[in-house]
Amino acid sequence: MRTEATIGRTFVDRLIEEHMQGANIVNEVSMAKSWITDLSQKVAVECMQLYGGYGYMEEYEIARRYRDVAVNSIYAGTNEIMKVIIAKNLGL
Amino acid sequence: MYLRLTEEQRMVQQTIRKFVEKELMPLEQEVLRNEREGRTGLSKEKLEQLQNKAKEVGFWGINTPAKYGGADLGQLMQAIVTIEVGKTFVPFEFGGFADNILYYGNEEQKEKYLIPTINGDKKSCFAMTEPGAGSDTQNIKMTAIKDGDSWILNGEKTFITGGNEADFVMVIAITDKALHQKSKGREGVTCFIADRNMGWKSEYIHTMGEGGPASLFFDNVRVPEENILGELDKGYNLGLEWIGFARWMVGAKAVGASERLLKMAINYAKERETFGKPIAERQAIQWKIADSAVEIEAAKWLVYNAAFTLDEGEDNRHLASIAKLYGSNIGNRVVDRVLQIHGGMGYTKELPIERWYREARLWRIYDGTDEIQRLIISRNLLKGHVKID
Ligand SMILES: Cc1cc2nc3c(=O)[nH]c(=O)nc-3n(C[C@H](O)[C@H](O)[C@H](O)COP(=O)(O)OP(=O)(O)OC[C@H]3O[C@@H](n4cnc5c(N)ncnc54)[C@H](O)[C@@H]3O)c2cc1C
Ligand SMILES: Cc1cc2nc3c(=O)[nH]c(=O)nc-3n(C[C@H](O)[C@H](O)[C@H](O)COP(=O)(O)OP(=O)(O)OC[C@H]3O[C@@H](n4cnc5c(N)ncnc54)[C@H](O)[C@@H]3O)c2cc1C
Repeated sequence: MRTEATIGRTFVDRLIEEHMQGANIVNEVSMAKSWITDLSQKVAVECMQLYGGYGYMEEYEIARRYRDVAVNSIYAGTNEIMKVIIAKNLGL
Repeated sequence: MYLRLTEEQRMVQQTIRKFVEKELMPLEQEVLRNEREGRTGLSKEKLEQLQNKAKEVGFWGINTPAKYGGADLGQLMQAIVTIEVGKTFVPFEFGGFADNILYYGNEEQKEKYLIPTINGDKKSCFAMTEPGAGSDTQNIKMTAIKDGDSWILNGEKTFITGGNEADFVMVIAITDKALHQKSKGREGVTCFIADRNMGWKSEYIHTMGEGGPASLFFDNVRVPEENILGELDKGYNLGLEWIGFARWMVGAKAVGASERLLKMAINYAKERETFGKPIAERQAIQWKIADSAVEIEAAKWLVYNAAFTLDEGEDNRHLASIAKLYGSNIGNRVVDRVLQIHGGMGYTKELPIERWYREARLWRIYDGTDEIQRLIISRNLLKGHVKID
C-alpha cells in the first residue's frame, strides 16, 4: 500500500508541475484520476480491515473514510469515462 | 453425484422467493425511510406479523427439531432459504429459531430459555468478544468467581449482536485462571446464561451498518450455579460451536444480496443511455456483469457444498471457512461494481445499493475475519487435517 501510494503521489506531483508549465496533460490526468481513486478505495478497504470490528464503528474515522472514497470513482467523470478518454487519445 | 436441487428443494425455494417478493420487498422503501430517520427498519410488531404469516405457509423453525415444533429441514434447505431472504435487506428472519448451543442445556434450562426463545417470547445473544479479545479469543479477561452456590461475573463484552434487545446472554467468562493459562485458553472458561435482570447493562454501538450491536457491562453480576450452560471450565468449545454454526451462512447471505444487486445492475444497464446508447452495450459494463455472475455462481456452490456436507453428517468446518471467506469477498466486489454501474445514483440513499455497500463490509469481519479464515484453511492443510486429493 505504501509503495502504491508513493507511486500515486509522485505521479500527481509531476502532473502539477507539468500543468503549471502549461503542458497538455489531459491523458495523464485521466490516468491519474482513475488509477489513484481506485487505489484510494483499495487502501481504505484494507486499512479498515486492519481495524477488525472497530473499523466498522462510526466512532473510528476509518469507517467514514471508507464511505467517502466510494464516490471518487464516480464523480468528476467516472473511471470508465477516464479510460474512454485514454483509449481515444491512444488513437482507438 | 447429482448437482441439482431436488423437487422439494426447488419448491421450498419458489415458496420463499414468492414470500420475499410479495411480503418483504414492498417494505423496502419504508425500511430505508425508517432507518434514515433513526428508527429500526422494521418495528417489533411488524416483524412478528410477518413471522406469523410465514408460519401459516409452513415456515417456522426451518432448522428447529420437530420435537420443538420446528420444520427440521436441514442445512441445505437453510442455505436455500438464507440466499432467498438475502435478496432483500429488510431485516427479517423466520421465527421459531434458537441458538444451536442452547440445545445443550439441561431440562430446566430448556424449559426456561430454549423453548421461550423458539417461541419468540425471549431474545438471546451470545457474548465472547471483549475490547481486548476479538480474533484472539484466548485473551478474554472477564472473570466469574464462585461465591456460595452462585458465581460473580465482572468484565466487559463488546460488539454483541442483539445485545440491546436480549433478555438473556450466553456469556463466556474465565472460571479457572491457572487452567485457562495452562491450556492456552481452551479450558478454564465457562458459558453462563445471565438474565438481564441479574444486573448486566448494555449500550448501543453505532456502526456503519444498521441495527448496531452492543457493549455489555458486568459489574458484580450474580449468576446462580444452575445457569452454567454445558460443563464448568468447558465453555470454549461451546463458543466455537456457536461461531462456527453460522459461518457459511454469511456466504449464503452474500450470495443472495449479490444476485439481487446483479439483477438491478442488468436492468439499469439496459435502461440507462449515455452517448446515444445503453451502457449495457459497453464492454466496461458487460465485463463487470460477467465477472459478478461468475463469482456468484462459484460462491453459491461453495455454500451449497458446505451445507450439504453437514447434512451428510460430516465435519464441514473447512468448507464453511472457504464458503465464508469467498462469499463475503465476492459480495463486496459485486456491490462495488453494481454501485459503479449505477453511477451517481448508486451513491445516493434513494437506492438501497449504498446500504448493501455498508453492510457488506461487515461480512469480512464478523464470524471470524478474512484473515482468521485463511489461518484456519491453511492450518487445516499444513497440519494435514484436510488433504488435497
Ligand atoms: C456488527 C458486529 C457484530 C458482532 N457480533 C458479535 C457477537 O454477537 N458476539 C461476539 O462474541 N462477537 C461479535 N462480534 C465481534 C467479532 O467477532 C470481532 O469483531 C471479530 O472477531 C474481530 O475481532 P476484533 O474486532 O477484536 O479485531 P482483531 O482481532 O483485533 O483484528 C484486527 C485485525 O487483525 C487481523 N488479525 C488478528 N489476528 C490475526 C492473525 N493471527 N493473523 C493475521 N491477521 C490477524 C484481523 O483479521 C483484523 O484484520 C461482532 C462484530 C461486529 C462488528
Ligand atoms: C456526491 C456527488 C457529487 C457530485 N457533484 C457534482 C457537481 O458538483 N457538479 C456536477 O455537474 N456533477 C456532480 N456530480 C455528478 C457526477 O459527475 C456524475 O454522477 C458522474 O459524471 C456520472 O454520471 P451519472 O451518475 O449520470 O452516471 P452515468 O453516466 O449514467 O454512468 C453510469 C455507468 O455507466 C458507465 N458509463 C457511462 N458511459 C460509458 C461509456 N461510454 N463507456 C463505458 N462506461 C460508461 C459509467 O462509468 C457508470 O459506471 C456529483 C455526483 C455525486 C455522486
